[in-house]
Amino acid sequence: METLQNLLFGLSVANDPMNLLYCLVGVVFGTLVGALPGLGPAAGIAVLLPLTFGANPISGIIMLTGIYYGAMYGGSITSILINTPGDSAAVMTTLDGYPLAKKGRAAQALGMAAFASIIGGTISVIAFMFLAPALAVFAVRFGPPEYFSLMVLGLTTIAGMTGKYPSKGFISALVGLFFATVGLDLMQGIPRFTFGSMHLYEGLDFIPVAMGLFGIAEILTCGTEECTIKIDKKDVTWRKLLPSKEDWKFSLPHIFRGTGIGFFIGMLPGAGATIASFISYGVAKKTSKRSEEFGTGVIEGVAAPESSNNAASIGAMVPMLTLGVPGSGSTAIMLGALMMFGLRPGPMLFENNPDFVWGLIGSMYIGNIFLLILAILAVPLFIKILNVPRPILNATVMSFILIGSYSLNNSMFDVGLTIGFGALGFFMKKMDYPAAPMVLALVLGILLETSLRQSMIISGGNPMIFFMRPVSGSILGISILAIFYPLIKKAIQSYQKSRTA
Amino acid sequence: MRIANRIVSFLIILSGLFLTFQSSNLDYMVDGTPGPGFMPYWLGISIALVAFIPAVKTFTKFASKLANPFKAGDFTNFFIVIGSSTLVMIITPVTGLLVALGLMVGVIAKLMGTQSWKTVIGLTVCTPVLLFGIFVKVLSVPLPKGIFGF
Amino acid sequence: MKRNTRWMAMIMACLFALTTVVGCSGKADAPQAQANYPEKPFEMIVPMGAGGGSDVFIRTLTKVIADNKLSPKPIVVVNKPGGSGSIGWSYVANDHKGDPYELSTVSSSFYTGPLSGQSPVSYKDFTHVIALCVDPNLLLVSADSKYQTLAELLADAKANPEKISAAGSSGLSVDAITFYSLQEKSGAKMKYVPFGGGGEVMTAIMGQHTTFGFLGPSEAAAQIEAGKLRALAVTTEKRVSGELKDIPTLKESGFDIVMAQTRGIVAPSGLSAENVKYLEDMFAKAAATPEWKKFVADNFMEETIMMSEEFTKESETMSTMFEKYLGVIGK
Repeated sequence: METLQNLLFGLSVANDPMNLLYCLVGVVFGTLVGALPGLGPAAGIAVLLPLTFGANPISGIIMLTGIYYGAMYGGSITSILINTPGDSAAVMTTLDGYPLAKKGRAAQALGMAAFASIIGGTISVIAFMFLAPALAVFAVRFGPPEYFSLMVLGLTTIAGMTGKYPSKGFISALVGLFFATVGLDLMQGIPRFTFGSMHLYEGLDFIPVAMGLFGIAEILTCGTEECTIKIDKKDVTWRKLLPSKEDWKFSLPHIFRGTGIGFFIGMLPGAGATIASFISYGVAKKTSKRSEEFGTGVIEGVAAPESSNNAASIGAMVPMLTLGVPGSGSTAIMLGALMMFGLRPGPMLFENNPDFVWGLIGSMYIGNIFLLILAILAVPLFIKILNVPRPILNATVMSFILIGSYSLNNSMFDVGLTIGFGALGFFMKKMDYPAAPMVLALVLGILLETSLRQSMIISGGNPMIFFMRPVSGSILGISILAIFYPLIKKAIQSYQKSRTA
Repeated sequence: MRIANRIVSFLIILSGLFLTFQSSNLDYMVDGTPGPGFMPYWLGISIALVAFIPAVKTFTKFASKLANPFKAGDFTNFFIVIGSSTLVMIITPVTGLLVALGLMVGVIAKLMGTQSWKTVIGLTVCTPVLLFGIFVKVLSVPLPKGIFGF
Repeated sequence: MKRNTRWMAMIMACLFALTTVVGCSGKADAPQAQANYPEKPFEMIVPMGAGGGSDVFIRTLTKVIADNKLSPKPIVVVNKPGGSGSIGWSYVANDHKGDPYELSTVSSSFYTGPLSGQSPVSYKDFTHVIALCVDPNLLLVSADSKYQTLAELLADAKANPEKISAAGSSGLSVDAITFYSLQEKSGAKMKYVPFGGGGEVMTAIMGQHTTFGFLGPSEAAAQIEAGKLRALAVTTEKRVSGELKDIPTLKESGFDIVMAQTRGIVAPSGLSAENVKYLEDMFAKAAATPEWKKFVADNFMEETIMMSEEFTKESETMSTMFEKYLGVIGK
């Protein structure tokens, strides 16, 4: 009961006209920034941070969280329409979203992305509200060995993305893991594979790699008429824009599963929305009735990662507010903002600043409703992008990709990197080397290696540490199951066949 | 296609070995725990080993099913886009990023088949203005400026 | 490469022609006449990403200056992250040598970067303007830990070599140096586990994945207050004031170690004495405002104003200190 009272209080705080305005501005701006290639939630928050100084802390943080989940949805728009993930958490959405658009079902994909995001977001806010302090304890149980196991589990999802030639998929993943080792070594501080360039000290940034391999490669291989997606004017009616009953039937279970996965992984400091979307896509593929069709444009392939990344963005707020530990790059910046406001995140925040915490929770409900309205209103607009003649679309998208990559670190080096990965992506596409495993491995690889080495230092070089700890051991168990599951499934099927025959 | 696959595999094997060789400059073990050279060493070897598979497959029946992925016109787009964006890298220090991107947009749009010059010039002018509005005015990104002062 | 140079030559020619035609639009940013300094906005380079400790420090400082109208020209804050700060710092020191409108700030990689060969610029390439405060560092254990004092912890560490582990941010940092000097001075053999940042260190300590760890008070204070973490020592010369005044210093515990992150403002080398004086005054005035004092207190920093000369000496000391322990880490 107390929670509900608090919620009502929070809603009243959030309903203050100024706060409503900040929330709306945040959501709209977030969606737009998320839709720009290369700019994700972290960039959006960083850019608007100075604007919030003038506001009071509650309005400020309401706007920043609005940007956060707005951008999480916004990232799906360009992923679906032009195969260019706006930020890392949206990469998985391209895998089925873009094929759907090619089939002429872009509107349904966008609609489903919006609904999945909002359902994921809302369920997570409820979970956050009731469980935040208790869940924080869970997040702390994740030490280096647990992270290592989680990364291994993440890597098993690669098996589901290898396409026609598994060996080429694995090469792609291994190269991605190698890319993850580029940069200054965390332990010794010596440069590895940087070839004398200072710009590589902090490692290969994920965004130039993903924009090159997905966005630019798409422009390079798909510039001709054959790739133009025709949208009939007749098809752009409200009823047809929304996902059909059948779509819902396929997607709902995956939305719920994606939300759960997203919320929990989002809560783990350092893992965040990207890994959540990877794992929930992998799980969706493993558990779907039509798992063979994944990658060719199935609606649940959009629903699962989209619900998951929005859930993760709320999940990441748990350790940030209760522990002062950011769960992602975006929450790290928000944490900086809180400190500038003079608030001290931690267990006492809920007691000392209830208006702040509950106002924020209240605003997340309202913000999700804003997001839904915005998304539904904007879908027909976004669809129009597809009617732009291909040469013009390609040219403009290219300029956005390049300027987006510049604004990552305000450096031309990243622009060059993006172009380079675009060229690499072209050859990979032509030679049937899938890009997704490389990108996935790049994200997972950094944590994989550091957590491996941290664990080994702690255990004094004994690898049993991964199996002896309950949480780590069970995750490793699940990963091993995930690897052998297809084999077992096949064995059972052939056994059943032989019996019926 | 067989040839292309074999060449690519060969190149990947070489780079795998190169990585392994390079990582021997880094510590493999430090105080009995994996050092900075540990992961790259094994990654290099694994890359080289796995890369044999696609090459070997080209000698089996499987290969006959592969179509040649490179058609004659395929590289046109590649050269247009990669060429013009590389040019952006080169001229940005002089013209500034916005001007360079504007020119690139015009070149790509024209070479990829936009007929009307009006559209091309319109794009060349409008895109930088749009980008200026979004990135400089709203997002206040400090873009590299050129001799024109923007 | 050859084609590249030819291109460059052509472009340079065009550029030259253009500048002659347009007139002297692209005038060089040579040191300006002193009388009317400053006559254009300052650029403040934060060599780290938004939201980090350095970023918050600089943004708050510039906001205080703007709010109190201490500078006749605005100070524009620009984040230039990458290369552990070396990209931003070399932009200031190498590309804008002698330019009194380029400012930046310092952090531990300001010293470790050049020593480990990562950064082309060292503290010697900068004019030290002013140091404003130091960030103390805390040695913490989880509240559930059996260790109540540092002495207990180290006694156990001596009895069980290689069993006690410590979490800190990255292998080259104030945390690491504090750890290795503590290990050296106490004679206990322990393990140092580097993590990616303060958040991860916090998780490692709270979840008892490592025995103890290092965190700044601004990160740890909330948890100490809530009774989740216990601070065993602080690394400053004197005890911290305020809520954390009960924490003994390492010196009190018998280890002569003082290791804290100095926060201050630097500019490229080659500035005139007048310009340095001007900047010193401006930032000193900012440091005297109540808003700034509140920020310093809220974030548990210790106000330590060091003017140009003293700050330069401090940098020398820091650099020597890092150099000494870098050999231990790099093995």
